[in-house]
Amino acid sequence: MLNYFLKIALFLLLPASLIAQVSNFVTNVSMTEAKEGSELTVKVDLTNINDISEVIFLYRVFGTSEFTRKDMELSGGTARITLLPEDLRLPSLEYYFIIETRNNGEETYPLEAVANSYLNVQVQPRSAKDDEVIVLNPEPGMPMQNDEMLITLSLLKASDEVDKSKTKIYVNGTDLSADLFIAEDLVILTGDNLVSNLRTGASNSMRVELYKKDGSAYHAYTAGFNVSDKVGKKVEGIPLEYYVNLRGESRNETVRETNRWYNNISLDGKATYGAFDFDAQVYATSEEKGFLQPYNRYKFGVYNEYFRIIGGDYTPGYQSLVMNGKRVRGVTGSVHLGFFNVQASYGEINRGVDGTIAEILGPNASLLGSDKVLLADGNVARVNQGTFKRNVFAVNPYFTAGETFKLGFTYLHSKDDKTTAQYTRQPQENVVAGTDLTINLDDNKIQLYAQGAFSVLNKDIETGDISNETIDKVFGPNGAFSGNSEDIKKIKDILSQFITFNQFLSPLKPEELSSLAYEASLALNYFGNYFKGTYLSRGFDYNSFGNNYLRTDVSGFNLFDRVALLDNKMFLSLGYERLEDNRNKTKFATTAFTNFNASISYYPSFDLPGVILSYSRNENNNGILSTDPDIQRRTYGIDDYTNRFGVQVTYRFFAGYNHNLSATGSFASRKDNTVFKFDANNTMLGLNYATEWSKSLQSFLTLNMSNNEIINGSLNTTQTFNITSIVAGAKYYLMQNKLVLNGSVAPTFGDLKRYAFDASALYYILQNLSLQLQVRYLVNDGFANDSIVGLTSRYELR
Amino acid sequence: MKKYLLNVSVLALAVFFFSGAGEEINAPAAVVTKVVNTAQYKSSAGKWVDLKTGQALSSEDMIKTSGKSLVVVKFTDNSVLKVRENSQVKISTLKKDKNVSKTVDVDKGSVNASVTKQDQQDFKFKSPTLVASVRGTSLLFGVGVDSTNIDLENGRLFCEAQLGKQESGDLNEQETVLVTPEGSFKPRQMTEEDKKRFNNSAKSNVKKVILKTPQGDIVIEYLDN
Repeated sequence: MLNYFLKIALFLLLPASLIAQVSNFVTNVSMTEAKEGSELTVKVDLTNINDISEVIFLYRVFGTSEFTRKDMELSGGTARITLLPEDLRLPSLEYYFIIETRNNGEETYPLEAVANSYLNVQVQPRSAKDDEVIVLNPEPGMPMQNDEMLITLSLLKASDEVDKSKTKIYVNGTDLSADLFIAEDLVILTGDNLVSNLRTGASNSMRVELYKKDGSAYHAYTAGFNVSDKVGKKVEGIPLEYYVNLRGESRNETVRETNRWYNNISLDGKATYGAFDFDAQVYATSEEKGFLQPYNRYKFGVYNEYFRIIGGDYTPGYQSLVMNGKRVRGVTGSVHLGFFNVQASYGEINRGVDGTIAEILGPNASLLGSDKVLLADGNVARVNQGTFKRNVFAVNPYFTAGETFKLGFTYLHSKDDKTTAQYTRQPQENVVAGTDLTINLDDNKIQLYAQGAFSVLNKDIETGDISNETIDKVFGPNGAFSGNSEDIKKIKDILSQFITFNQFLSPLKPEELSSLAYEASLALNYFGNYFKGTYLSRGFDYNSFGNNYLRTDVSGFNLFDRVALLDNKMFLSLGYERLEDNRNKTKFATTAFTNFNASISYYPSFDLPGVILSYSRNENNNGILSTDPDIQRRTYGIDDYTNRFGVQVTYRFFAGYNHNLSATGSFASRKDNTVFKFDANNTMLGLNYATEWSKSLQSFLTLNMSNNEIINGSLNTTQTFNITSIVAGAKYYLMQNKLVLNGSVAPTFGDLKRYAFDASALYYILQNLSLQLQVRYLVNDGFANDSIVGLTSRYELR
Repeated sequence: MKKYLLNVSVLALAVFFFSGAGEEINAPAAVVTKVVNTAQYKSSAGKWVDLKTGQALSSEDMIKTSGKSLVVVKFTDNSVLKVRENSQVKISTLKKDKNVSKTVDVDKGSVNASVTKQDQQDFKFKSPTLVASVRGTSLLFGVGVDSTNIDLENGRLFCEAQLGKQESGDLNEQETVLVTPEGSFKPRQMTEEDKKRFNNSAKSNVKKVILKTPQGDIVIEYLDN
């Protein structure tokens, strides 16, 4: 099943928009169709892998200003992430990537993201009309067997407006409507034409078009499915079924005249034994080095209706304030008993890596500064700090009543092991306690969610708990602080059971609740109107090692409303958000972040273009004027706004062949009213055009143009950065799909010039054994050309 | 005039009987999506013929399977019926608006059913000794020489014994019942053996033996229990 989903994902990634921008690390971004209520898988092809330590995906839904950050799963030359259906919202999703490098640098993709110019994907509405087409075979999520090639649909739920006899079906782009047997509600497609248009051992697509009695278009339903020869292998005598997938890759890169080899091997398998499911994944790569964070991955799991145990690398899901998107190398287990359930994780989230001595400063040098250490020989040295091994334990008992009610409690304890990294200072420790509540009523039309968490962080546990003698010296009538030393000792006795108790503990004043975070949301979905209101508040001291990326010191509300009009053909979306920092009044000025979004989407019919018009305005203001009498204070002023206008058009049409066209355009203008006067303008135009000429041949053309202007009003200077890139390519299936050829040419013009040539050949030596050769050649302007050659072999044992 | 009134009366009766609560059309309401080994099919007015994948089934159509055989039938509401080996069933359907009433007469053998949550739809399983009405259920309905056995994995069934005491009652999930001509209805909890029997009945795995001959490969396919 895993393999099946992988293939479906790979297939669906192909027709999606291919995004070509200039980058030192990213060669291509592709994604599955972004559709409301569906998962979205984003895949990034990488180069220069040896320099990459992490790839982070940042995204924000319509109506919010905060980007959510998630680590992508790195595997060989690709990084991948799957967003859950609840992460998508009409009409679009803004996103970009941060590529963190091993020398502690980072680069964004696109490069213009640093100037608030992001990538954007249109989110298609999930039509209620999709439910009017019931796919009986192939069963959704299951592969079609090559000896039972049959597509059957039920139109039992189709509207009375639909003339079922006019139903059309396309399989892999070929119109097979003439072969349909339509009997009242049943639509059956079988026969030689279907067989010859299906790709065995690969992913396939079908598109069902419904028409009204007057012949006008009513709805189009699309789905992907796989065709396989066998589902799995059975072992004689015992109820064991399994499959194993083995993949090996060898890749050579010459980048900036440096030649490197990368080799990796991966194995994944799944087995079912009676009521138990098992899976295992191993990924081993030559990039794995003891002095870096892990690149190898391994995972094995045992699953049952009542429990699951997962060992190895796994990203568990807890309430988002406490632990979210964090890979744990260890054990995660859960027990599902119905009303009462519990899950827990234990393992490491960082590997211990030694620091290195950068410079010996001598025995009398000052130890002040976090990068200074005292060596055993008495010398003081300046060091490049390493990373301590960081262990985490999380437990989450929760109570559920179907989908209606969930109440959970989460406890997280995380601590650096100070023995695991030489020349490294300030090991830390963190405790977080949280709770979350979900109430869904009236068939999920009313959704209430609330969560809260309180954290305690110790920023340096090197010296351990503070001693009672020190407390006596520091507190009391003769000490520097007025607190009662006996009271402090009592507090120490209690708290030290959970976390190292010393002077580096924060929050310093728990009663101010600066490390408390909470949020609550209410969503209502009635009469074609979806409304969601959220209030959030996170103190500046809030810190969870299970979710380092959370924006803190922020509070405010977010309102979103979407109205469906004209029988779900038009959607009007409005979003308003107002957030402020300085929740605990620790700064001398409070900044208000105001964000207004409006969008109108129109999808008249599947055979006509869909259009989205959008407008957004972001304002940031901390009340300090550029005319403030205090000249020093003026430089702390924040007073800017950005207006952004956008238009997107998507059009899937059949004109002899299947065509998929999307065009986007946006214009953004930032006005800075502070003394710095950093204004910016950005214009982006994009065009994606894919054609499915037959089941054997697909082609695509992508054009992206980005013009950027950064104006320094105080110095009267203007910097421009303009890039235009084109990608033209095709995919061709030969020899009854045994050979798949892929090729593209991608010239880039403007302030960065280069030509990229990509070619790949995938050959199935046997049904379960394939070889793939990939070649990428970059002709650079002003420096040496780059090349990447990779050979991948895949073997499936079924 | 009399003739006119008669005609109007006939027309009115026809309208009364054939419209009423909604259209009732005897149209295909199921399709065969899998046939393992040999199975036969008979339309209400036809003869027994070999059954093939993709066969549309209308009301009163019958299916029978031989040893080590299996037929998977899908109804238009996505309910699934697996007709196990050595079984014979008759499928009756009646469409009303957007709903289909379904009755499966199990003459012999057993069927495994995975029934979608019914709104106003009616799904019944019948044997000479028992009638069971289904709502959102996975069940195994087995008919012996003079008895009927039901294993219910989830959902709820209302059962009516047809002979003897004609007792009736609800069968709850994870329960099993054996109804004989004596007509008692006494459910009990499913044992591990009952669960194993149910799980086996839900499977539709196929084994293949490929004989390599000079004239080509001969593929023998059979149901793997």
